[in-house]
Formats: sequence, C-alpha cells, structure tokens
Amino acid sequence: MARAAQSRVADVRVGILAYFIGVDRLYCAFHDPTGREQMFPLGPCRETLPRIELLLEVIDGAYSPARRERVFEEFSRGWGRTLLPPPEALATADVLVVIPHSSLHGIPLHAVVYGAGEAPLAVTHGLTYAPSGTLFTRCVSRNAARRFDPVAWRFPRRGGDSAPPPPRSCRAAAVDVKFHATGEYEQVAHLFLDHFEEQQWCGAERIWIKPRRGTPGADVLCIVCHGHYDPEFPGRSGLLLARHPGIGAEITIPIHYGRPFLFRDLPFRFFPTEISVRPGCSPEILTVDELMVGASTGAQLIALIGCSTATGQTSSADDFHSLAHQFLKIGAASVLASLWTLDFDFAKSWAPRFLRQWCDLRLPKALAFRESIREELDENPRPVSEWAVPALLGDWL
Amino acid sequence: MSIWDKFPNYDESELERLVRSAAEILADAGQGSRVPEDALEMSDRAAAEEIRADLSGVAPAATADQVRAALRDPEASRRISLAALDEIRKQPELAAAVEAAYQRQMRKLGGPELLLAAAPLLLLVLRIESFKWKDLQITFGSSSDAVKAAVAGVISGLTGRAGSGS
Repeated sequence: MARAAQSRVADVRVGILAYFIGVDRLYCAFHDPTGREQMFPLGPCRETLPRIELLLEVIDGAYSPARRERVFEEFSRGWGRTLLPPPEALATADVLVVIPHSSLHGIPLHAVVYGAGEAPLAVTHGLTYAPSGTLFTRCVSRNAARRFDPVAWRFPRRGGDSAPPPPRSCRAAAVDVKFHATGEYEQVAHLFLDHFEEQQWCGAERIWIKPRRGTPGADVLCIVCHGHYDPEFPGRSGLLLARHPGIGAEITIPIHYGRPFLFRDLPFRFFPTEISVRPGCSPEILTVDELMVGASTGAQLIALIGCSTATGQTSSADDFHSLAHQFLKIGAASVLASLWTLDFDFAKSWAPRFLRQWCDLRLPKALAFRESIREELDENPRPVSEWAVPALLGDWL
Repeated sequence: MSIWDKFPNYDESELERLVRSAAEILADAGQGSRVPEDALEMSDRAAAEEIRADLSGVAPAATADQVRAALRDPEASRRISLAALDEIRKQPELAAAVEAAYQRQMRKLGGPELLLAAAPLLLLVLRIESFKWKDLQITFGSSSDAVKAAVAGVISGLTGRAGSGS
C-alpha cells in the first residue's frame, strides 16, 4: 500500500468563516488562507432563521425520532448548503475555523454535504468552531502544541520524524449514574488514558474533576459520562458525575496570616430531580456556572464524551453558554464535545480513530478529526443524527 | 432478558425510559391521526386538557386539574404508565419496536428527559385507534378503553383521597 504523502504544519491552509446575521439576510465573511476577505451574502433571514430554529429545537431533543432524523437530513443534504460560501472558495483551505453569530451557534455545519464529491464538510475539511474571534485567538496563544516549530512538524508521523511527541499527561474519569454501564464508559476513558505517558485515573465513584485555579493540571482531560442540558437555565447544564461518600469536595483556603480554613466546595445546584439515578449511586453535577468560579486549565484538549456537552444558548454580546465553551474560556486550547445526544456505540468506535490520528500520526486536531470521521463513515455508515454529534472547538492544532 | 419480562416490576429509571421509548414509537406511528404533532412536547397542562376530553365517556366529572394532578403524582403516574404499557406489550411487534427503542436509549450518554412522560404516552394510547406497523395493521380501539378505565380509577382514587383528607 502506498504511503500517505507527508505535510508540514506550516503548510496547512487555514481559512476563517465568520458569520453575521443581518437585518434581511445572513452573511459569511470568508478569510482565505492568504488573508484576503470575501463577503458572501447567504439566504434571506425570513427563510433561513425559521429553519435554524427548527433545527435547534431538534438538537435540544424535541420531536419524535423519525421527525428528528428528517430534520437533520433536510439540513445536511438540503438547505444547510445555503449557509456556506461556494465550494470553489472553500477549496482553497484545508482547515476552516467557524465563528458563528447569534442563533448559528451550535449549528453543525460540518454535517452539510457539499461540493461535487457529495461528501460532508467534516470529511473534506478539518473544521473547528470558535464562539468568537477573541476567544479563538486566546485558544491559539495558549496552546502548548504551538511551541513546536511548525516547519519541522511533519505528519503523518513516521519513524525518525521530528513531529512533537503527544502531550504527556492525561486525566480521565468515567461514570454512568443512570444505568450500569460504568465499566463500558471506563473502557472509552482508558482509550484516551492509554495514549499518554502520565496517567491519572479518577476512578468511577470518586469523581470531582473541576480543574482548580493554581493547581497543575493534565495536558489532556477526558470525561465519559452522561451530560445534562438545561434549556431554561443553560448555566445549570453539566456533567453528571458521582462522588462517594458525601457531596462536594474539600478545599483549603488561606484566610488570615497563612491560617488555612477548610471549606466544602458545594455544587452550584442540586442534582436535577427529573433524572433518575441507579440505586447506590451518589450523583453530583458539575455545571457551567460552577466552572465560572475558581476553575482554570491549561489542557491542550478536553474531551467531553457525553450528551449535549456543547449544547447551549447565546447570551449578551453574542457570548455562548455551554460546558465546552466554558472549558475554552477557562483555558483549554481545544475541546471535543457533543452538539446533541451522543450514541455510546458511535463514541466507542470513533474515539480510537481520532486518538490514532492525533497521538500516533500527530495530525493537527482538526485534521485528525476529519480523518477519523472519514474512516468511521467509510466503515460504518450512520445517520447524520449519530455521526455529526461530536465537534472540535477552539484551536485546530 | 427482555425488558417486558420485568413487567410491572420496573425501577424508576427503567420505567421512565420505557415510557419515553413507547411514546416516541407511538408518536411516529400515529402521525396523520388525531394525535397532535407536538404530542411529545406538550406541557402537562395542555396534555391534561386533551386527555380530559378523551375521558369524558368514562369519567365525565373529571377536570383537567384532576388529570394533571394524577399525572404529577408519582404513584398515580406509575399506575397510568403501567396501564398504557400493558396494552402495548399485548402487541408483539409493537412491543418489540419499543424494546428496540429502549435499548437504543440505553446507549445514549444522556439526552433530554421527558418530564411527565406519562402524559404524552397516555394521550397517544388514547388517540391512536389503529396504525400500520411494518406490514401489520395494529388496532388500539379496545386498548384505549382499558386504559381509560384504569385512568378513571386512578383519578377517582386520588379525588377520594383528597376528599377524605379535607
């Protein structure tokens, strides 16, 4: 079999799609890899916004399974194309950084089947989402992977190449608070853990994974658990974790002349009452709101393998509230998260493909994501509602 | 082991998931009948209004508030859900489809919770008279009568309990 041609990180062509919802129509400013900007008028608001609203309702879990599938398919193979510039413009880039606006946050553009090849954007391009240009710049500037010379970084890596080694440390946790699949969830978490030299395993029943400000964290954080999205109060959305015994973690805070006081770091909300929990489990929820207080991370990648971990809502000044976005705001360079309900069997099949591309072959994350989705769809064709769930957010490298 | 083998001894989590799976299957099957298109998203107040109208033959004095109270009461809601599921499990093909949906739900890492899922399920069972499932015509007419009687009994029990307590 022919060996794949190598590329250099320095030669990756990166374009930016910055969206703007105007009074009458939507616009997309495409900054091509040479830095030239082209403004593309897209569909009229009166046609496009109701379609977006319906898609967002489906993403939030509304309607029956057959109707949800129809809505996803209509977006993927139909009107979703109206949200993109012409294929010949996008063909100039290998990686696209999508900066949505208003209700376009959370729309899975990577699911749009596009161009002559009739392949989804996730397969033709590396793609990452950033809630704003400012946050994207911050993600890029803090990414430890960027300390390596991009001219020397060649991929896919072969023996003797000068590609940087994968990140060193990984912290992982897995728990199923609803049913009895913790063992299976742990297997997926270990797929991540096993790729790194320093492995920090949090165990199944002692998970309190809030990254604390000032404490050294891991390069990669992987959490496999149920996610919970609260459409009424997005800040109360979170990861459904567990702790035994008791609630909250203890933290020591120096108050006066070095005298430490011990506090309970209580969760910001009680566990949602509408969620039934398996017997014997002490569930807790790590919320978006809680991550806003006293949390920071320097991780190169945070993988949130759970449902709706990137689902959220736009707030003032076009800020977007979701778990994944909050992890970017507190310091992560990139986050892998789910735009809606994640199927566990898909996650189990797809995650090792991504890890092979990113850690073993040392592709940039966005290209590793592209290759992993391509492989997955080649071997296990799935409906859009399953394969398009995960998305990369933040830096593409 | 099939989830139906445990009937009616489900824990809270199993019952919630089974009710949700059944409601989703029936919502798809019942498109085009008297089922509201937004049956799965209706508020419990709106669902109670619709259900009360369907119960007028067996419980003419029942009010929408009483129906709503029954759907919100954990024990009453459980009995109503089990009555509806009991009719579904009598149709082997439908039961198998619900079981498959239940297993798919189990493989999701989270997902939206259907608050008071008993309400949409009940409405769907009452409204869908017959539907085509794969090559079979499934008739639900007598099933809805049985469920109506069960719901009327639950409401009457709740009303009596409230009355004796006052």
